[in-house]
Amino acid sequence: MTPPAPTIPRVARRPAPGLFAGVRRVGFLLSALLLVVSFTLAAPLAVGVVYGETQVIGAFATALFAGVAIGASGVFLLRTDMKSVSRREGFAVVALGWAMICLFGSVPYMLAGSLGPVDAWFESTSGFTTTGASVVSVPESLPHGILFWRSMSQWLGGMGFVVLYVALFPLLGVGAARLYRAEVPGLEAVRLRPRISSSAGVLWLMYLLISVVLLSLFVLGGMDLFAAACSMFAVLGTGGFAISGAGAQIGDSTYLLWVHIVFMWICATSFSLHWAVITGKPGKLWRNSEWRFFSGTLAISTLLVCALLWATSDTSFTRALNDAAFMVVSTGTSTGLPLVDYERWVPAAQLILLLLMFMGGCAGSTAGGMKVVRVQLFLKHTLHSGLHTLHPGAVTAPHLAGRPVSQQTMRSVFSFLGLFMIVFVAGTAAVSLITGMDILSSLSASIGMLSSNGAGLEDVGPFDNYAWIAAPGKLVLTFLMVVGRLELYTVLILFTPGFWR
Amino acid sequence: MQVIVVGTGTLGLNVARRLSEERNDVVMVGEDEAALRQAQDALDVGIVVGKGSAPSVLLEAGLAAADIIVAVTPNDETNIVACLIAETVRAQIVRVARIHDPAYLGEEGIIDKSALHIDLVISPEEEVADAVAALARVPGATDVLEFAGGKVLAVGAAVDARSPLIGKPLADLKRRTGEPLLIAGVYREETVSAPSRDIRVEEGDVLFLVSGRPAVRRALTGLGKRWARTRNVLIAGGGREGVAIARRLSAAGVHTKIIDRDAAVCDRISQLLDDTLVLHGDAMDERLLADEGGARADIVIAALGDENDNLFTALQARRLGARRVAALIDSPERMPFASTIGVDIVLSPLATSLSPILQLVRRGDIVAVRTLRESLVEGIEFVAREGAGIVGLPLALLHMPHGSLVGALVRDDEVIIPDGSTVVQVGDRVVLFARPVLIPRMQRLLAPG
Repeated sequence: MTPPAPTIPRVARRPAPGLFAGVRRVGFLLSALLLVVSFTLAAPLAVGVVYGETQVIGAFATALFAGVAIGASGVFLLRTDMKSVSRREGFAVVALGWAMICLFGSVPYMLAGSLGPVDAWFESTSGFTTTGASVVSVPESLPHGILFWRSMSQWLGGMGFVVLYVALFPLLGVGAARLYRAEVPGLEAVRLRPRISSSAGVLWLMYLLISVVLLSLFVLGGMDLFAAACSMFAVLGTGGFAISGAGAQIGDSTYLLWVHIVFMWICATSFSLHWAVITGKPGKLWRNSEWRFFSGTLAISTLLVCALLWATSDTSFTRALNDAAFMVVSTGTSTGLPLVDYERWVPAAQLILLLLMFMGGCAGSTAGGMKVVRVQLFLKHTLHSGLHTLHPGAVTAPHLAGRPVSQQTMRSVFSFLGLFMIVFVAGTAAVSLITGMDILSSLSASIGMLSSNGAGLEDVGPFDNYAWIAAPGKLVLTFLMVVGRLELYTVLILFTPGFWR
Repeated sequence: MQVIVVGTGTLGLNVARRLSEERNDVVMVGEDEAALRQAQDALDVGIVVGKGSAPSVLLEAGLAAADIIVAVTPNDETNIVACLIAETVRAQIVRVARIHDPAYLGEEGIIDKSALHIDLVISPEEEVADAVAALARVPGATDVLEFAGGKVLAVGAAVDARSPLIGKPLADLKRRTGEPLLIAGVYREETVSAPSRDIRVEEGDVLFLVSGRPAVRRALTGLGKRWARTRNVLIAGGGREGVAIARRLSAAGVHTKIIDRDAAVCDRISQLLDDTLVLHGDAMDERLLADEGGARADIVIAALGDENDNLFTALQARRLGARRVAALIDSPERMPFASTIGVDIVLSPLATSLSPILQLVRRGDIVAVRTLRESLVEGIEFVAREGAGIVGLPLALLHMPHGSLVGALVRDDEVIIPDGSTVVQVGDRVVLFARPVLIPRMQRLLAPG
């Protein structure tokens, strides 16, 4: 009996995977995003039909048809295995997807003849990034359909259309997590359910629920349905587009004023806390230190501004309180919805608003800015460092919500804040260089865009607009908007050579 | 289904991956934050950092609404406590725990799994010993899954250079066998493809065959394999798996040798294993392997602590001329590679441990679940009940998804290899094969309602 021949097979060299596979996946996902967003154009189209605006109907019908056609053919032609979306592709899809959707969103403005190409791009980007900075001085002059789309874009961008896409197409598997994380702001993306697609679904359902509640409250307060819907969109996305030159649609109603305030505050609160309240654990709200810090900051700022207003002008206390509360909350939640011209206030009160812009809302909300939790961790760390000068041997660990914060988290917070300031300073320099605005205007415009607030001081005050700025200036501002909305890294990483290697 | 997985080791990760891929809500619990973050990045699962035996941590992981808890930390006590807490909070939860210490499993007669309120005990080493025992009963096969108490076999048969079938169509094998035989798939270039008229047998292919034992024997002989009883098995590595395999094989009357490089380990296992020859030495040393009969062994099993050592040892044994060589490989990415470079049998304690868990999460009257080749194919044995989608229609009319098939039926103790006209009757044992992703979609076929 002879043993079988001892052979060991050779390992064949496998051809390297082509770059095309990744490009194809990115292309597929972008097409799918376009498809999803295209269908939302049906809403402004319907508004156009109701108001009988022929040109608007044509514009939206054309854009809808083109978007669906391009998206569907992309999805069909590029369909591929989506199980292995890499982290890099995830960033590329979200960053390019935002650029694409902002561009696509500008098409109806142009087709309806309302705005030129650069202005349309600016208005569309400002809407989707929930910045609320406008090139339109008299919004009333725009057709209803266009106004509606302008407002609705804030609502879509607030919760994020990538999140919507992930919720609608749960088949993406692990790739979904990569997309989701690149769009959802905060230290770590809100995860309400174990699966990303169900998390995204729950987020959008809550968002819809809050939308319906606010819409009904507005209608109950005497707004007509159109104004109520547009105002609701502006508040939910913490966007801040007003549909009239006079700012928020409030009139003399204290009720509407406070409904605005409360809902801006709600929308700048982390949606995981809303989930806790809805699932019967309201205690989590009080135990959440980020939320306490955020609400406390808004309350103290309101009282300070109110006191300043009351002391330095002849306004009544109630009026001062209402004005202060509205503008503090509108600014502190990065909504930037104008109501009163704060540029007539004493400088100290204006400064408080300017500082609030930096912080923005809570992580995991629709608000922009640095996010409360990062500021909070920064402060804690700084205080701990102070303790070390007093007790050199002290061993400390900053805690958040009863849990120690890891060194890695701390590092990421510091790098984020550092990068935020760098982008802010570079943005200020670029804005002032290109537009020729004065220092305060450039500075407030830069932070206004970066924190998706929209309104600044001086040349870019709450009742000014951005129409006068030349095209290059508008492009710089829109770049800051997208960078700010996607929390810096998702966009900036595309500009590092390492990303393309 | 809502699943809590306690433990972030390889088994925990595998369970979580598999269950989450089947669209269950999985939350992983563990103390190793870095491992959890990595898991979250790679799988679609929720994570909770904390001790798996802490009630508050389990509650945070959603215990109050969970359907299954799988406690697979390396620590028996943590797993037991996690299951006890789970039962206290939620009585109807299904509790699965990995237990190593036989004292907890009734060996000392003081306490057993029912006293610990555990529904299913997972023991990777016992699972792998079962797999080896099945392989020993089918000489020449690279994979063996047994169904219906061993009446139905699904085996992998590698085509080697001397096979008379090379270059011939698959139907030739059926003709040579002369008995009902199902060729379920062909494993080539790391994927399984459905059999078709166009496929010509090539060297290196692994054919998956399903039938009763006599037909499988004839098919393997037809492929040029010698059907010789497995007599000599050499095991490299005296760890948990090595010992479990040796114990199982020697009980079945196979001569087993076990080699370990640690004298103390040899000493300990020699007391555990009566019928096995325990040798002290390095199995990676070619001369020792040759001296100890590596060349004449029917199977050489590399069960050392390190996967790379296992690959190396198995290949060396193959070079010496061992009839079949096996390596313990758990990382899914290495399994296809191991087959490619010439390891005949890839044994994965983790993959085989998954099977009983999958059996729990499947609806219907499931008797057994077995997975083949890094879970490329799953075999399910179930009893056809009144109202299940599979009953009453010829198989050809059932519109089963592409990538799934009925492999065999057992009716009145008789194995039936079905064709398109076969009708499943109530009470039949059905052995069905499918790609795992398809199974959640096939529940309607398996269970009534």
